[in-house]
Amino acid sequence: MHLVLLLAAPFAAALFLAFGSSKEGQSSSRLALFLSLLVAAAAFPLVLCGGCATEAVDWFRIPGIAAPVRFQLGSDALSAWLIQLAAWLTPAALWASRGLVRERMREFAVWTFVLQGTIFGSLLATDMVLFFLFFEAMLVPSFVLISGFGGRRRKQASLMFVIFTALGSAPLMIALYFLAAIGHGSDLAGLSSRMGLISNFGMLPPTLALTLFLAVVVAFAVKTPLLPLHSWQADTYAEAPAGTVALLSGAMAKIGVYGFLRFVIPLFPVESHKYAGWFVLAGLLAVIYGALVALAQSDFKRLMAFSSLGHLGLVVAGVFTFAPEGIKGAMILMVAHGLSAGGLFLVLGYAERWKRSRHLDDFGGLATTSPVFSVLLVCLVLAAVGLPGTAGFVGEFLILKALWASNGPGAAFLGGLGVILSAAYALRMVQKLLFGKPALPQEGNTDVTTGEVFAILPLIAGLVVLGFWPTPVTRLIDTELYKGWTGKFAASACPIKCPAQKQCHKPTQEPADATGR
Amino acid sequence: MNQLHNLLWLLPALPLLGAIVNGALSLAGSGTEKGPSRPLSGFLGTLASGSSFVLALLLALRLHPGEVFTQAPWTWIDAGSFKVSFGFAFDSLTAMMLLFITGIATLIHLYSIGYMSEDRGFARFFSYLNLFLASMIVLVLGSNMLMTFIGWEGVGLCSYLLIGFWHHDHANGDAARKAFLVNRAGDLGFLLGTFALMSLMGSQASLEYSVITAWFRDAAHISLLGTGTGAGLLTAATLLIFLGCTGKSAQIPLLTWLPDAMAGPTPVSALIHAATMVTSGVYLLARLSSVFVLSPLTMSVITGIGIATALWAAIAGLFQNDIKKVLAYSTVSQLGYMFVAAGIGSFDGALFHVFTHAFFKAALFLGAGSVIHAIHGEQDMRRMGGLAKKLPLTFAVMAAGWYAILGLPLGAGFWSKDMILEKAFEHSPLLYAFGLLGAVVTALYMTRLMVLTFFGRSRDEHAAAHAHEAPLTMALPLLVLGLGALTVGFFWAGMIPGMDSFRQMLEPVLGPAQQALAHGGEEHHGSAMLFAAVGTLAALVGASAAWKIWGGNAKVEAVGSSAPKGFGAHWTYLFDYLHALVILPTKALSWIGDKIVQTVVFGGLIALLQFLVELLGEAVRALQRPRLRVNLGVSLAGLVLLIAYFLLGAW
Repeated sequence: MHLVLLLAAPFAAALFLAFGSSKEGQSSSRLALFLSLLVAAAAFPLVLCGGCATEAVDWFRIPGIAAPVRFQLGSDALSAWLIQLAAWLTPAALWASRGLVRERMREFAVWTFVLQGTIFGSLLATDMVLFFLFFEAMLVPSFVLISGFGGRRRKQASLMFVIFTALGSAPLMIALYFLAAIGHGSDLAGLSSRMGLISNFGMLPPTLALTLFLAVVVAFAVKTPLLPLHSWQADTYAEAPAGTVALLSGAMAKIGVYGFLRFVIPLFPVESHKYAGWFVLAGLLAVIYGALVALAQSDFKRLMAFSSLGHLGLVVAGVFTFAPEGIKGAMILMVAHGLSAGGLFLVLGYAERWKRSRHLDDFGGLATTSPVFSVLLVCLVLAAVGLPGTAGFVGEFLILKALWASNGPGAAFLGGLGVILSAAYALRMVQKLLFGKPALPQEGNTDVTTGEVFAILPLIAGLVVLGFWPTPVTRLIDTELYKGWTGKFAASACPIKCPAQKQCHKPTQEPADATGR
Repeated sequence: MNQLHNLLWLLPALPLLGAIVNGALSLAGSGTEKGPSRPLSGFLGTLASGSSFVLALLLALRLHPGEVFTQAPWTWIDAGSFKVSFGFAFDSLTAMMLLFITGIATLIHLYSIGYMSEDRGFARFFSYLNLFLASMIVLVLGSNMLMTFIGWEGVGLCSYLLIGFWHHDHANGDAARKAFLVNRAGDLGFLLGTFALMSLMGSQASLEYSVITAWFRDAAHISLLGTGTGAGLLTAATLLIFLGCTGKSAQIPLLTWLPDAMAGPTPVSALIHAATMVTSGVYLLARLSSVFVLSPLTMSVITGIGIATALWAAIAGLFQNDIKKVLAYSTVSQLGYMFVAAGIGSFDGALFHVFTHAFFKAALFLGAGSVIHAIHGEQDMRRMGGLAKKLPLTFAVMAAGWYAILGLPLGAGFWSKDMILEKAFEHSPLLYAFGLLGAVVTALYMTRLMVLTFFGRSRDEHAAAHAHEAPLTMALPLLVLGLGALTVGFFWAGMIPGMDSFRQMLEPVLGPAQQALAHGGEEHHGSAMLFAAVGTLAALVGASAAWKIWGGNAKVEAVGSSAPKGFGAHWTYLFDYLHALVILPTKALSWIGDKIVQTVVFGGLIALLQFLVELLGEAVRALQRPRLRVNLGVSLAGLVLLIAYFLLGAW
């Protein structure tokens, strides 16, 4: 029941803001912040329990598929922390956006809540059709937010964003239908255990299996994004309003990686292992390429977009090492990147608002004029470059260690090279923004307000706490789980059994458990 | 008091608290006219450092030989079979490092109260200085390599913040960035080195120093490391970790950042870039000595790099006109001697030079700071001269530092440097010859510095006229360090029996590794006097030559900037040229990635896509629907059909 309420909460908040109140401007922003904090508080307990799920309810039938689509929500180690990202970045984004959207705050908050709700939905769904509905629905609020509140080229950017992601997920839709037809139902737990059997015994023609595999992969590779499907990212991140891009890069993009872990690997264990090296390679290429291109950017939001490309590349490489350290490192790095990139987009949004420019050369001397802003920026940048003591370091260290062990020293070296390059572009940005004499004449108060500071501080606190104590993220992941999803899931403290746990039982050991629900 | 060793965490926590309080003070006062209260900031900062020193002293006094205090509050990283504790370990090596780090840091905090008194960012400065101290303490107190790495990158960060402390000047930002990035290159070596170590240790992989040491002292394991993959991995691991050391300790090839780091305030140069942070490479070698002694190849590389750096930097020191740059190259050169000592297996000798060098180089830097403070920021020695009379105390302290670094009898360097040279002779006479040559050049550039600064006539009357001696907060640390430069060598006065408390202290930690490497022959004490005499002679030759060249009223014209010119510039920037070989291709690749791949290839892809969508949109415009929906619908339907066709075909 808790999960249903959690999923409904953002939509209820959006409805309440849209119709239930006539307040405008500042007071609606306070109401929105209050509601978003309620949602975040409701989401927090998920990380305390190992996994839980609601009762499955038959929903509707798709012609040609034996079992009905089921409405069931579940949360486990994999999704709990990503849900936190969406839950906690929303209040930060709403509060930090007050200065930017001003009197249109209510409209902005409504769509932000809808975006949050769809992200929750994708992460909570245990049925692939249900997942797909939310996965596609994310496009609507994103499109409205970018085209309604974005920069000068917002129309074009939002259009490209929607076209790219929609084109990416169209093959997923077809593949889904086929998968559900082959696997007699779209519920993930049953489907993945049947797919595991089917592919293990080679019951699927290899070309068909490969086509299905690629169709699913493309959807998530666009979302993540992976090279070379990243073309939408730079323009979208540059033109989207700071509050939205914080959610897009901090939470939504992670659903791409989530898709690999949740769907691609369990549904296609054979292909995933067979082509793991290619994914590691693609990830590492993204690391190097993203960092190199970021080094050449003069627009700081585009710089951050390429930085995200690199970080998520490292995450994907970590996932496809199939080593426990790699998966755990990927999880922490995702959380760390969500917090640091989300925070950086918000902080850079402040600077963009002051100067009405995103061009690094228009800035300078902010350390003199805006000392509090400078401290926030430097803290977040240090977290982004993975300084030890921040969560990013733990993630990068574990992934590099896994790369060394699974793919050889060369892979670890490439990943490490990206870490050096990330410091190069990040410090270049810091110097352009903060060092030197103030570039343009300043008008009025140009440092951040107390409220704007409090939007960012929790993110920095989270990065530092998880940097010294990442166990809350790592302990939820049972390492056996990801060795091809065949190992036995360790008993968890949570009283309610999670579907994701059941699917991991070896069918040969406990066949009743895998199918007998 | 029995619970004292449970307070290890307080050692870094105290300065960390100081950093946070001073940081908050700095931000709170940033909007006001005068800025935060300076006496308060200075007092808190110095108190934080001083109390760490007292605690370290109390702990060191209670430490029995061979004993280790440990504390591991929680498990930091837990990734299944691989665990890293958030642990501290306090043995005699750590005790020795901590005592001089916190001691000298406290003196330099005190000195900074006077030196930075006019600066707007006073509280911010103390915040950074405290943060640095906290990181440095974690570096030497960590019980595993990853804890050390927290401090390792932490001191790098503070170095970055302090080099770029005066942020209105972009040149300082460039220097700070360079320091951070060059160090990061080394840090990658450190990390990859830990991976190599862990793959060597296989299922027993751990980053705890105690486990690593025990594993690599086990005869069963040593036999595996002699040949094949084991030997290769061992060489790779040790060389990679040594690469990390060359970054932090400014050795060839990663040394270019240290001279540029002189852009920071002078107390920073004294504390971070001379006495403490740059010696962490030597500390790490000593900490992992049991691993390094097993790889003769790596040990030779360390010796070679050490002597090459010592000679190259000493010669580069001759070409500098900026007083701080001379001292910077001198530091690089002295660090080279420390690595020579480590490379020939005398880790305690290397650490002893770390220890004595911390005193005399800090005295020299603080003295230079006092000179710069007195003549209002001038750093070009060609515009100084005749300052001995104006600044008698500063002159006396710098003379003590000069006496010590030259290795003249009974000074600190006399004991530590001569010992290294003596050990070098046992290793190879050629190494000794190069070391001696370095000593001559050292005497040359140091005497040149003293002569140009303090003797002769004043070359800038205006500046000299207003020169004033330092205030008390600056004078006191100067005196203590000057005294230290003359006396700390007696902690290990090799020629005097029984005067080796320094060696005895480190024996439990370093002894086994050094004995494993010892050549079996007994030390020949008989010739110690001869070595001392030759070393002193070398110093005197260099000093008198310098006096001949630059003494009296030799013509020294200050033209243009203080940077060296001609051959001197090429020599000085030799490794900057080499770095350019890495930086330029990176920039080129970055340009190609952005302008060609991203803009042309992927940009073209987007344009093509856009064009197709427009085209489809035009075609079905007759339907009079909102354009976007049509665009999307048509392209989606097309794709769906396409995929369905393929799938059905395959089925």
